[in-house]
Amino acid sequence: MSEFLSSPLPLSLRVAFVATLLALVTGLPLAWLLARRSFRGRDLLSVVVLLPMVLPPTVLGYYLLLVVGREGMVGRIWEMAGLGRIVFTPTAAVLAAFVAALPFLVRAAQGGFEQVDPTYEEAARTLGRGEFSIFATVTVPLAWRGILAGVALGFARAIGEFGATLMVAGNIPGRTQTASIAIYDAVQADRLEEAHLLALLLSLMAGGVLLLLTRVGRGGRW
Amino acid sequence: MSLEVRIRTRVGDFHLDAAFQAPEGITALFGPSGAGKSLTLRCIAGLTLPAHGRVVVNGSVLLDRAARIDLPARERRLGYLFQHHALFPHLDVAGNVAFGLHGMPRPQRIERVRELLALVGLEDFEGRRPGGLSGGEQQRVALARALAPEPRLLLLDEPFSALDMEIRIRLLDELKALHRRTGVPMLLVTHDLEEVRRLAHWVVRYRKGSVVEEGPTATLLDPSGKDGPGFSPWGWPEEPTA
Repeated sequence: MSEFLSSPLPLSLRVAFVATLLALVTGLPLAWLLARRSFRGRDLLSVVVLLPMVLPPTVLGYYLLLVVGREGMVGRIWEMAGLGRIVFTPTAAVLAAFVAALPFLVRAAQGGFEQVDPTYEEAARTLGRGEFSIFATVTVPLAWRGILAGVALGFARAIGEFGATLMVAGNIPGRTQTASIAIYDAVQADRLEEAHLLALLLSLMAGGVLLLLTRVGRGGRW
Repeated sequence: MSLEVRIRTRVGDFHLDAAFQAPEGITALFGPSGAGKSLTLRCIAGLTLPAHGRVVVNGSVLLDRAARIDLPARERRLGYLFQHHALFPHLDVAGNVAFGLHGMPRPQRIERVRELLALVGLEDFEGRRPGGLSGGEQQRVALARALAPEPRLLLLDEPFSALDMEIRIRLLDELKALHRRTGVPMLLVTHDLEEVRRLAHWVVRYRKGSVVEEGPTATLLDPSGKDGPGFSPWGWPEEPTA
């Protein structure tokens, strides 16, 4: 029992943490692009980024397999680089969680950026600052509510990832068996007590995220 | 200071075709709302790219579309005072004023912020938040912030429109005093004749997207002069805008 608890949940947290961090690093520039620039293919980019939000997780997992599987392009390059295979590893679990979390992060951050009056950025420009400096010292601090909401939602989604993870990372206890998969596994094996406990813990975490979001939302704009 | 501006561009249905030169001192772009004054200012600052145009300040070419020169706003070294001040709400007063002083060593920066705040009469305001300041105080902070990087020209977009009448007159005089003390040339956008009278040495009159006349304030605004009809002390009658 203690072994059961010590494994899937911490693994889930680690996977979700790394996935959310990756989603933040890639999602912020994407959200900024979508909020602040108009360019050809902008709508297409938006659709591609948001698609995982509406796709059935199994479809998402299937596409991921096509890309990172042993016959997939990324999978082959990965293997040639001596990094072994991706599928059925914790890396694959991170990848699935990342792709699932990214749209939530981008959407919320984009909304946050759109709320920032562009005059602040113009003022910064006339004061001699470069675009990256303005992004880091003006736009992001002013959009922090949206960004934080995106991080919270993305993290929640990453923790809950099930379908795509099962397809690309599998269900290997101690390696790729995340909490959401462990619950399924426990129910299948009729270990209901374990399922109960894990479900309760995940629910508490999700509740915590919602509480955080509510508090941040109530702060109003500044 | 010499300023040479020629701008021809279109925004939606609005056509701007303006050219003027301004001498030393304070110059006012004067005319009714929607005449293209603010757009001109944005083009000078590098915030809007006009289809055609040339902007030269003190012999430096900031923009010349024909020669494919378009200095980014951050390299133009022009101060800009926004209509609603646009103070960064997440920074305190010192942080706002110091924003254009990046690259300056910290001790000097702190000293310079102190000087600038003294210049606009806001000693000891360093730690205050912009949100807690009055309109007049916000404007002074915005002035200090714009002057911090020592701009070669200060652009002011309707700087008094967001303020009460009473405080407006006082800030007008303060701005004039500030100009005398710092010597920074100013280009001011306004639709208020009183502001032109009190502040400007040179007036450029705008109407429907073009410059109708320019000259020294005294000559152009002399009520006894035989200047263009319609030039009344009440400013321009409102004209239908696009």
